[in-house]
Amino acid sequence: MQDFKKVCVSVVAFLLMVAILSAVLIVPYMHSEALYFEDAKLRDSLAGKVDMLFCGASHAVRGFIPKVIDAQLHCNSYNLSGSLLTFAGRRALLEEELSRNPVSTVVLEISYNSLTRDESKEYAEGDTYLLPRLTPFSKRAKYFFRNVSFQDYQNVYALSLFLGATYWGRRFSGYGITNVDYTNKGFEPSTGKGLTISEEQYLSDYQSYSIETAFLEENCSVLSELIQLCKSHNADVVIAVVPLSNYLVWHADGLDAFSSSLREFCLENDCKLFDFNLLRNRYEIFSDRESFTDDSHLSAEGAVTFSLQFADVYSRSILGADNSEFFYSSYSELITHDPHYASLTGLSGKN
Amino acid sequence: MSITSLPFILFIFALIVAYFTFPAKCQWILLLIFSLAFYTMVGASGILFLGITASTVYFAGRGIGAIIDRQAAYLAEHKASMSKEEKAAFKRNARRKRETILIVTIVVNIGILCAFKYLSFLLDQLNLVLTAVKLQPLSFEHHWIMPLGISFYTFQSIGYLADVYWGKCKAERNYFKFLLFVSFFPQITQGPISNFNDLSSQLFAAHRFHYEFFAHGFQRMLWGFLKKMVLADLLSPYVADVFRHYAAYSGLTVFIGALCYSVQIYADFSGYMDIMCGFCQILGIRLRENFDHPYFSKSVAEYWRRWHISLGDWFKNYVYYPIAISKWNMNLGKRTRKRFGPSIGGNVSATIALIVVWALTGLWHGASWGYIAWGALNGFFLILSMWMEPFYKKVKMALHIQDSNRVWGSFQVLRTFLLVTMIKVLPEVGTLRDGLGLWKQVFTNFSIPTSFAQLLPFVQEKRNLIPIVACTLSLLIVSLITRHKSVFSYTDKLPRMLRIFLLACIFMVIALFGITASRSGGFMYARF
Repeated sequence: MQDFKKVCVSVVAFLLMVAILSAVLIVPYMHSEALYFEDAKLRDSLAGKVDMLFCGASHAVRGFIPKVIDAQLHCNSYNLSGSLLTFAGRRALLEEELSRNPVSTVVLEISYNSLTRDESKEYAEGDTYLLPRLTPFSKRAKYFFRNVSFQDYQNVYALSLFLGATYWGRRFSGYGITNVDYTNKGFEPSTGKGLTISEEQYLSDYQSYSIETAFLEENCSVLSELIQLCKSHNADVVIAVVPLSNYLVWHADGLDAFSSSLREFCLENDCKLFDFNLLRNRYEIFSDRESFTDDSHLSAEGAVTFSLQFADVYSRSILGADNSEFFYSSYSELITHDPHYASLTGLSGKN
Repeated sequence: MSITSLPFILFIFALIVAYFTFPAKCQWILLLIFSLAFYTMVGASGILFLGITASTVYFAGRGIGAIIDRQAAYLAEHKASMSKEEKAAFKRNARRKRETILIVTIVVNIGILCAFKYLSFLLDQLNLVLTAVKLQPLSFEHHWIMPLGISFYTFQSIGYLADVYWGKCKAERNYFKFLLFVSFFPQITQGPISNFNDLSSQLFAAHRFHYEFFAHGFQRMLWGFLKKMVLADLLSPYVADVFRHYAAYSGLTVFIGALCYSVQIYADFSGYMDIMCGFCQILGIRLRENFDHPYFSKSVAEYWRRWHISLGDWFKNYVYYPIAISKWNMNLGKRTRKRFGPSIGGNVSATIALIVVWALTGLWHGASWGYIAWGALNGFFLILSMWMEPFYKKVKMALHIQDSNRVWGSFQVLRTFLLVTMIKVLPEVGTLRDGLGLWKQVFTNFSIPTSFAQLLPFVQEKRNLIPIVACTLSLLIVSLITRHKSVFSYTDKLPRMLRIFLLACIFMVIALFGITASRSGGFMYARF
């Protein structure tokens, strides 16, 4: 009995110390001007005024710049996207914003792997980034227990610690404690070097990266539910594909299958689709070196270009203009007719 | 269910609570239920084969035990009335029966092991031969999943049966108790391969809760998690990268990758042992140790006495000795001794036994030419050192080198470490050709890189270097200070709250670096 009491005291002391050490790492981060926490505050302050929403994963966070789009479309938009944001996460954010804002348009970003990847195998990374964005705490707790599987609890804890440690690292190395720009309204510019691929590699990599093309039934049904949710709030729904680098479009095999499945899905769900990968003369608009930081994320400069393009295409579509002249109808047409790719296929002799 | 996951922690927590709450006579039943539950959760399909092994060995053990008992009873009863010849004939007859049961059971169980582990490899080799002689290769596709821990529980069961056969232990009468011995979950996936007498006495005994057992066990588990989840799993992607692209890197970089692999496999395997030994310690069960500072060994032979000790002991007891003391081998030894002198004669018998042991050890680790070459090389160095022993002695005497000399000792440790490291990487790179290619890269392309990026181009995430270096140094320091004294003799002297604080810090390091690093990594030895 004596031993048992001793163990109980030791275990409680151990757990207490772990809790204190965890709090030392995480709590200051939570109360600093960290992006995820500031996002919730900013959205609260804009409640009732937002009329356009962008919602997607990392491609969308780095792609849609609300202030650029606001200036073009004379609206008040907000980018709700988040890195690895799950469909459950998108629903949580959309439900909140649709219920408190007069939203007329929701742009749902879908990338080539959004509907094919199994979100349950992503270690809840997207959920960890999302949780701080849900306020009050009860909402956060509800989301956590409903959407994060038990096996992923340890991953959420570890990643939260890691974010806390990164915060302390920034403080000790003299960087500012935040890089949040409030006027960005959810847009987070991607940092990094431009994408440089040698011509030799470019040529040898043609369609050598096979992408998964079979959409997962459950992802499609959740996306359909999201579309219905938006429509139930009288919002117009647009599905947008944010441009990938020219290199990845060349490198990937299976984009045509993705494109036709997505087109079919949009027809079934009665929503507009803009695939900005299929922009005519895209190489002149987005150069790999300046417009991208890696093979699939837009740079700050690329995001401005993209946001202007989006605003242009969307404003035309509102007016009922035919946008088809701006886009190729398929990826194979893009590769065959786009001057940049056509010159490459001629060189490589692979088409 | 991964051993480094939250569900596993809750699983063992539930067992600890139940183990000390239920009446002591139920403790082994709880262990059995949890062991079978664990096995079902980690590899449900394998439970059938676990059942076959446990059942065949159990009944064979009972059969052999019954023959031994009947023989003893009959001889005691008819001692006076039987002639010497009759007694010998009776014993021969009984031994033949026991041998038949033993051999049939071993063949069945080794057969299952071979079917899962070696069939594809053998067919591939056969097809190579058939293709070479322009015959139609055999097509045989199977998608069998190797039952988890099959190499370990098969060997442990065979060891038990051999002990019963030799009369070293009594056949277990209770099937479920024997099933627990075979399926005991802390050791089923990676060992240690236990001896029935040692383990069963602990498994079936009643255990009371002790604070010291709990504290030491928990401490050891955390140390094991640190080794596995932080050190081994952070090193894993770097090592994999070097092994995959060895041809693109300089010899020095590849050599550093090989050293990292040595640290990784030790941290991985011994980390697992620490987790499981620590957990068993909490229950009051002492699992046998599988490591004894192997990288401080002064020779390859010593290294193999300190690395994966239970496997080495198994081969020594059930393969090496039976061959070494077999009639034909003894006769061969006698004949060579007569002809070439006592030292050569003695070595011949041992050499034959060593060749068999290392061929089997290589095959046990995996069905590939890489592992066969790995076993052959280990055997070669052991045999070479045995034959050259007198010569080394002479050289050392001539050079006035004392075994107690520290510099000489350090040189021996370093030499052994480098040798076993280079042998170890051979089967890990891919094919045997790749393994030899890696060696070639190390020895023929040894340019000195001029920058860190050139030296370690595979290190993409520089922030991981700090925990890797810190953990490697901690491992080295702890290994050094615990060579002659248990680590608990140091930690027990610290005030309790300070000790708990240090443990909480270790936990934080594991949570910070280990959980993310280990989420994709299983244990390296589980594949054997």
